[in-house]
Amino acid sequence: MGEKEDTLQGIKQNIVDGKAEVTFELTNKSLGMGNTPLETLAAMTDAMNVVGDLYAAKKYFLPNVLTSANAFDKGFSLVQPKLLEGAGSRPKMAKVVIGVCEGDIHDIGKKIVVAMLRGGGFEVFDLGRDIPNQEFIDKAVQEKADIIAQSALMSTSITEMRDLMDLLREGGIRDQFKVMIGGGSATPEFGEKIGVDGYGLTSAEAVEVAGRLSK
Amino acid sequence: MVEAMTKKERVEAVMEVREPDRVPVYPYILTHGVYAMGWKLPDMTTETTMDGVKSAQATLKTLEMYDYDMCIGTYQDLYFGVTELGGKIKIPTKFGSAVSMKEPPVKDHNDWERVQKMMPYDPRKSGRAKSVLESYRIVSDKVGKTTPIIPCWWPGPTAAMCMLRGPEALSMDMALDKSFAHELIESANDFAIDFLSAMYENGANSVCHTGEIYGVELLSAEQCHEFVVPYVKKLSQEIYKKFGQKTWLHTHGDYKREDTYPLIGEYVEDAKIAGFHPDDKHPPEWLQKNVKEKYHIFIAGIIHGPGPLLQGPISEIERTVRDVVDKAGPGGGMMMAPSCEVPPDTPPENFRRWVEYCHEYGKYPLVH
Repeated sequence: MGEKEDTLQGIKQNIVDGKAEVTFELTNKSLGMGNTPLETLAAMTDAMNVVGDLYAAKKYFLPNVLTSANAFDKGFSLVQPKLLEGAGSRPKMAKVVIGVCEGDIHDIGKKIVVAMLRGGGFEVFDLGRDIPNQEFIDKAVQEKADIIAQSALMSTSITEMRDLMDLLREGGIRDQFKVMIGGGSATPEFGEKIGVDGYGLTSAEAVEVAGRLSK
Repeated sequence: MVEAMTKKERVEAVMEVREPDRVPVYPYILTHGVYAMGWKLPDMTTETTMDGVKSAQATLKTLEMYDYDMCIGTYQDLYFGVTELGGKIKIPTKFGSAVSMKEPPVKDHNDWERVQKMMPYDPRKSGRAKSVLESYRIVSDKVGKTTPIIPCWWPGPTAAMCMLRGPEALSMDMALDKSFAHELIESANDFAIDFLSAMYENGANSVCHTGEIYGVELLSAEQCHEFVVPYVKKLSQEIYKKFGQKTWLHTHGDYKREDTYPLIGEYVEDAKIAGFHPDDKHPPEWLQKNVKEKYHIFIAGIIHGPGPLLQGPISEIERTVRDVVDKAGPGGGMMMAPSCEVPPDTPPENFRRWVEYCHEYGKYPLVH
């Protein structure tokens, strides 16, 4: 392997290992030595796919996934501006506006999904946690998003999902967005009842559902 | 024929893994009572103060409405102490929402030096926690002679996540800076023991409920072994030593797996928990065989809160109760509980029928 390929492999391994500072340095080196932003991002997304597989196989758990996601974010902070510079020449990425429902601060699962979605090639707008429904809608309208994704761990927050659907219908914009839900409290039955387009139990499922919905 | 028991005798029988007169119901109410009163959270709590009298009224109201068997003596959320330690919480105005943390007291390592000086935070002296204790006193005065009043707080990792650090940062600490994570968890665990003790001092009179959010849902068995088990052990031992009361553990994640099942043994044999209250991933027949019969501790038979309890229909609630009673009820040692808290907007008719039907169908000796 040449030095360029070694660097990409290094980025991948350090994201898997959750080493943020080394990832940042290697990403900087990669971009500086002539690897394109897309090549560098590909190594990063490969890493998150590995992390996703390890998580699905119950070999990685929350602390591991978060440290990997943190390393990914560090590297991505360097890649993103370069990607935006060349945005016109790239194929359009489906846009996902994602967040945790109002009243719920549990955004761990959502963070994992965000990392996996980015790894899966989506353009993700992560609103964070405890987000009012109107903020989801405003951001989705502003960004012309394809998908709104909501998560709730607490049973006290799950009703926000129903309210989001009501708001979209009342606003006459239900058809503009696909809506998917997940999190500890959401169930496929509940999703069906409130009329969402997709439900994902795991982060891997979330990426698969988002892929299906964005076609 | 089993003689009719008081609620206290019923719960006592279950804790001792004996047959009660009927299956007791523990609804794990945190916010439902507030909404049952027709209030919103700001009617009862601000970021810094809480109305202990209203908290007690809400608790007593649901007890009167549904006649369940064991109650937490107060309204609860996860964030008592946060404001006092320099963090920020948000009290939602919307029906059904729960209090959330906007900013943890320990945002980075430097904050810990400041916050550590304020620990252990004394719940008896000030803030919303003090009102929790007032609520316990009132509820105990009203119904304490007949009703098991349960103290409830979270053990180390969950307490540290909620009170000090936030979930993401604490989880990363567990991977990147273990000694710092342990320091935070130990400090929060000491608060948990003290807060539970204060609840006993103010009227709690029964088994202790400690619930943790991480579990094997979010941590590996190895990580639980390191970051959860020792703190549950310390908590349960201290509570038993001080008050002679046993502790049951509510937890999340799938404990049926080969790598996670041994943790139950650790919780029972090392941490000395007296009951196991998992989430809805655990079928009643599995709990009966692999927890109650194997370890001789009591179990919670589970109804999924956001499922049948919230959404009904009544026939599905009844079907679930029959399934749980038939498969986890034989031999006693089983209480009915939701997988986590009863959702705040659970329809009263669903809640009522759940309790009634547990009592009707769950009469001992079971003859179904």
